[in-house]
Amino acid sequence: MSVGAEPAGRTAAAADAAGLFDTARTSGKTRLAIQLGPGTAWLIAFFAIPIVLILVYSFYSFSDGQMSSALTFDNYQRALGTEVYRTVLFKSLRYGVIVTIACLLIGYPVAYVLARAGAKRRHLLFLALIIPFWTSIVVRTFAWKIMLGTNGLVNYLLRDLGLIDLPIKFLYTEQAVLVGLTHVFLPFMILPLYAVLEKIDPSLEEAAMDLGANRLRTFLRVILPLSLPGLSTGCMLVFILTIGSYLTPDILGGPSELMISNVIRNEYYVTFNWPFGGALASIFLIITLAMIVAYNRAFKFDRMAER
Amino acid sequence: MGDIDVELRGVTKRFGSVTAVNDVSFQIKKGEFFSLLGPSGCGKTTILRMVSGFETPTEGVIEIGGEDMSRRVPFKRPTNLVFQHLALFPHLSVYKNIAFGLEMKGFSKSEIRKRVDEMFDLIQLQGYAERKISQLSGGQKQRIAIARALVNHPTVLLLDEPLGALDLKLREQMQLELKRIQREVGTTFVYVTHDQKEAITMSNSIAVMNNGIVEQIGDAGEIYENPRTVFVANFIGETNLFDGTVSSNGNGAATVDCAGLAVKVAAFGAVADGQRASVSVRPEKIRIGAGFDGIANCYDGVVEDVVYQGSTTSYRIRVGGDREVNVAVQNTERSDGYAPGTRIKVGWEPEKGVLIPERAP
Repeated sequence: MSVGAEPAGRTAAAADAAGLFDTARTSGKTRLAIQLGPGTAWLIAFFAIPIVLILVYSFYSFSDGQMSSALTFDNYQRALGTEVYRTVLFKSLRYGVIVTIACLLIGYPVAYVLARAGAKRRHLLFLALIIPFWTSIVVRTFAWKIMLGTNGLVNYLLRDLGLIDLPIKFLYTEQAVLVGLTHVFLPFMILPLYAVLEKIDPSLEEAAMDLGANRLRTFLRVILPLSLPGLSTGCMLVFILTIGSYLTPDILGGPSELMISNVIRNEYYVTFNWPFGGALASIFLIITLAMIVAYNRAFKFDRMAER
Repeated sequence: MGDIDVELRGVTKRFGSVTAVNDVSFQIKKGEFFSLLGPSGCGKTTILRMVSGFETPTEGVIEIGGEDMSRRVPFKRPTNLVFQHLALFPHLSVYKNIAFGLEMKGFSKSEIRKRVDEMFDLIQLQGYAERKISQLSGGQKQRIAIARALVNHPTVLLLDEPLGALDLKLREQMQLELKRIQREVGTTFVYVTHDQKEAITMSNSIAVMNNGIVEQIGDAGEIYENPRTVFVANFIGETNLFDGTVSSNGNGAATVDCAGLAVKVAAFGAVADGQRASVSVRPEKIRIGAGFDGIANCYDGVVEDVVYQGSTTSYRIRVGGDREVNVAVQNTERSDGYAPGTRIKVGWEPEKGVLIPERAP
């Protein structure tokens, strides 16, 4: 089709152009469908439908090991009204806060050192950070079991050094779970922090010092505010991952240290009470979403992105 | 002693096996606009960073206002630095940027406001207080950076090629602006640049640096007219260099034999016959044409190349074999000049050249 069509041949050219335009539009639509289709289908099949199912089942009733489609609020009443479930829910949230703070305190200096290290050292440090990240979370968590067990490495060393006579019970305690969770989720704090810290021009720190700020004030007035976007992303990631974690409390906490995900799992696979499990899951989901919204408001993500 | 603001005595800085600054000593007078001029990697920025406290000299002493600063941390020095890339705080408003130093020093809110407002007047950016840094133009950022440093009333203001990122026109504007600000506040400025034009237009005093040493210190005229080393002659402006050996000298004059070309030159320092030396002659000090057979240095040449540059025309002229001489001629007449291939006389008086004896290795 010629681009410079003469006015005389206008109708033919226009028809051609219209045809071309049409094909362009359809091919555009097709392309869009091809691009977005698989992802959308995936999300619908494995995210939207399951969530809707969980929500629907959570209103079903359950008696004598049988689920029936008679709608009821009983599951929610039981979940919110029973002390045990409330405790587990609050504990999960509390763990989320503690692990987030621990990851922040450990991760910030690490991210800063990474961001300011020379290229060569940075590669090494990154490897040290990433290699455990590649290792299966199960393997890493079991490693803690070996470390913290009654006959584990830590107890062995302490006894060898003569610091204790009897082994200390590390495993199956709250502390063990917290240590394990902090270790597992630390990279999720370090990486976003590193990403922002690395972009902060070191001469900004020098400028602050040149203007009379000591190291602490340079950190508080310049580095910290500029790293807030990464800090809030890291905190959010670690918090969400922690409160929903299932494996670490299962391995390091044992039956006494259940978190909400373990309880939900038990409802589904041990007592087969899907409606009640669904109710717990829904409550947990709503609380989590509400917290994310509140958190976003507090940190004003949008406005920070503008800067 | 009282009118010396900055003094370096035998300052050396080594990074591993690299000597960035090698036994540098100089004094900067109060209120002076002092430039450190040299190519990149010559050590000028290292000196600035040592004065501001971000580097510690390996050897030597740095005094500011008569006090030894060699080991003092940056945030306790009476200096302020305008960074090469300005380093304005992107998360703070213009006002907060300028007020930063005063806040760190614990000034009262009203005092801070008064002094920041003074700065806005000085840099002529009234009404920009609440702007964000990202909303400013290059020249405005420049001024804010200068105000942020000057508001602290430093003994010495250090500037690390702050105009490097600006385009030529804005750069020239900012040079004038900087000169004006310096005149108004009377603070000692130490200015690092690799741009010789910038150094010449702005400074009272220039230290030309190369390979970690100071080659020459003087005012612009002195450095241009009386370069003491070949490097200075080459680096500041353009020049013709005739390298050779001294064949005769005495009575304030010397002759340097440059591969068969005898160049006579005024000589005030002590030179000996047979010593290696160069003669530097600036292109605008050389005359071409006819009718000046009487002068001491007069050679036959052929015009090789002509570049018309408006107010001047530069000629490249081949003189005696393969030696080329660059000549800049003021276009005072509306004539056509000389075409390439023209046979022509080239000449200059002995006192127009500068004799630079080769330094003892």
